[in-house]
Amino acid sequence: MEKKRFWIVLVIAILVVIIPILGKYLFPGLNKYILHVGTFMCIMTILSVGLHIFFGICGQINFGCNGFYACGGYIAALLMINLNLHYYIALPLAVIGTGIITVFVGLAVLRLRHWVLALGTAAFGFAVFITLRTVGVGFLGGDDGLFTSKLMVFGKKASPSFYYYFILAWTFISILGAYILENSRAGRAMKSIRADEIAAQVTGINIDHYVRMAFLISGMYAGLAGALYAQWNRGVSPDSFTPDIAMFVLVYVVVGGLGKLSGAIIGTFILVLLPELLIPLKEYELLIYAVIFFLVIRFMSKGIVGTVQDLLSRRRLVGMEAADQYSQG
Amino acid sequence: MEKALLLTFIGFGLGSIFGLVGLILVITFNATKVINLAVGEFVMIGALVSAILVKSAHLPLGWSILIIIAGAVVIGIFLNWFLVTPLLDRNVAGIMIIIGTYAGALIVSGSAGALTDFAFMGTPPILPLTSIKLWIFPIVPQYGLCILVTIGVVVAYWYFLNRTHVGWAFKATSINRDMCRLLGISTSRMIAMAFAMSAGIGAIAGLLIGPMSSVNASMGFPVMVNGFIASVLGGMGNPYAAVVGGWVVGILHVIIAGYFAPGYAQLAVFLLLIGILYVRPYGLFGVHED
Repeated sequence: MEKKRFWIVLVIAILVVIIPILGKYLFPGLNKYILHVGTFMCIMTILSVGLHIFFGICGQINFGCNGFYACGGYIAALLMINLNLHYYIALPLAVIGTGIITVFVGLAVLRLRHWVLALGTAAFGFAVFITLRTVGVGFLGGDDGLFTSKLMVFGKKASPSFYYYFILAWTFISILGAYILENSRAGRAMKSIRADEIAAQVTGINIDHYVRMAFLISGMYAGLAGALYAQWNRGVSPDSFTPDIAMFVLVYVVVGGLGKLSGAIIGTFILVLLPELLIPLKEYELLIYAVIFFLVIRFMSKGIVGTVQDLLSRRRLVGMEAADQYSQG
Repeated sequence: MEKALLLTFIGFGLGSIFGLVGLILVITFNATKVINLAVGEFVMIGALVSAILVKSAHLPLGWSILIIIAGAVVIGIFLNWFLVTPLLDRNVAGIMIIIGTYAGALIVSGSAGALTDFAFMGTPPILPLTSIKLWIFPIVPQYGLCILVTIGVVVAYWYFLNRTHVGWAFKATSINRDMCRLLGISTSRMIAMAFAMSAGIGAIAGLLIGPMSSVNASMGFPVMVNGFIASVLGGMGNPYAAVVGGWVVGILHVIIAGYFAPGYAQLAVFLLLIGILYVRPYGLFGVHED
């Protein structure tokens, strides 16, 4: 089983890496578009894997990840514009800066739990969005946002496929990081908090410590996604960080399969792709998207990954029963 | 001074609507322990459909109010019958059902948007929107109506909960659903009733708030967020506290918008929320239950 999973992951990884090359020869006209969607998907994957750490592993709800996403993007853009820092220096600094903001936000909201925590984090996300739009007109650019300069790679302007591979590499690193975290001592402690907070406390797990840690890591993931977005998009504006983003990312994680890393990734993949496929429907796009999404929740309530796994294991069970009957004669 | 009085009055009126939205959130929350993110859409239906029926179809206001409330109730019951009850019966995680209600909200606003092209419309006011002077107090009749209707709804809800047999069964359902089933109370009917009530009250709130500004198909979400804030400020689970929370939110909203800039109003509300939750994590009137 473990070996099978390894091969599946390897095949998907190779597919993802050669997509731009395939696109160049199979759909020459669409190549740029495929790269655009692919890059956006990678950024969203980093966001949803980050949310998975806080929500899926640790079991706490965060409705405000657009706030951290915006912090990452704006810090990176401000560092590049005002201090003339190079992108490769601004990127880690933006992640660290978002981490510092996350710690302070965590001091304020992590006393809360359940629904109140959801609303507290959502309030942070909304507050950041409104601050970007109205309050920081002079410094943060208001509705127009900030524009970053071109990124040069070996003396040439960075191409879309460069951005794709660059962001894809970061996506692989973040997925690997989440996987390692999930199977580490800290990850197990977080999972026990998700299962039962009081029981976890009784076994000697410092709940506050691990919840804060999960919040910090998840915020830094969102900051990374924002910093990557800022350069790829050649600028940041409040429209990219609406509270809808936080909702969408939550939906990706839940529809894919809550509590599973593969669920977060597959949910992002399907739900980012779906609106792109629905574009020909024009004004009915949102409606059809909503109906599909509604039906998934209604009939696949364990998420896509959970339902598929159930189906597979049921088939295996049926096979085992048949084998039993066969052996009993 | 007169400006301050007028703003406070308008804040009370706006806050009453937020309070009503908070109240209907709490009604369904108590019955199902699920937060219904589609409540904003009932408000949107109330505001938008009355604009269409009265301005375009030239129906009398009274009839259109009845049609709208009936329509919203049907949508609420459908949402419960198709989504919430089946998932509750299968013991699905609460967050899944909440995301499902969000999908339902997207469907409602998406279809309304496809029909009206997300165009802005004007809902006909029930009472005039110009300010008149009542002794020394400047009032706006439409906002006065908001306050009166809200107080009426709260009193009616209190009467229903504490003075009728169905209301007792309803309250018992929110305390322990399995026990109620053993005692012969049809909990599924109680949950359906909660959804019907919340949809009807939501549509009324929409009829009242619609005339204050132009409305379109995507107005539901911000209203829902403010109602959610009102209910959490008051203390989630307490319907009367939600209305008080709504007043706090509404007055802060209008005063900031009136003296500073409209853009800062929502920011102030969120900062107030974070501040109050920091001091009292379970809301102003909430009790810690564990």
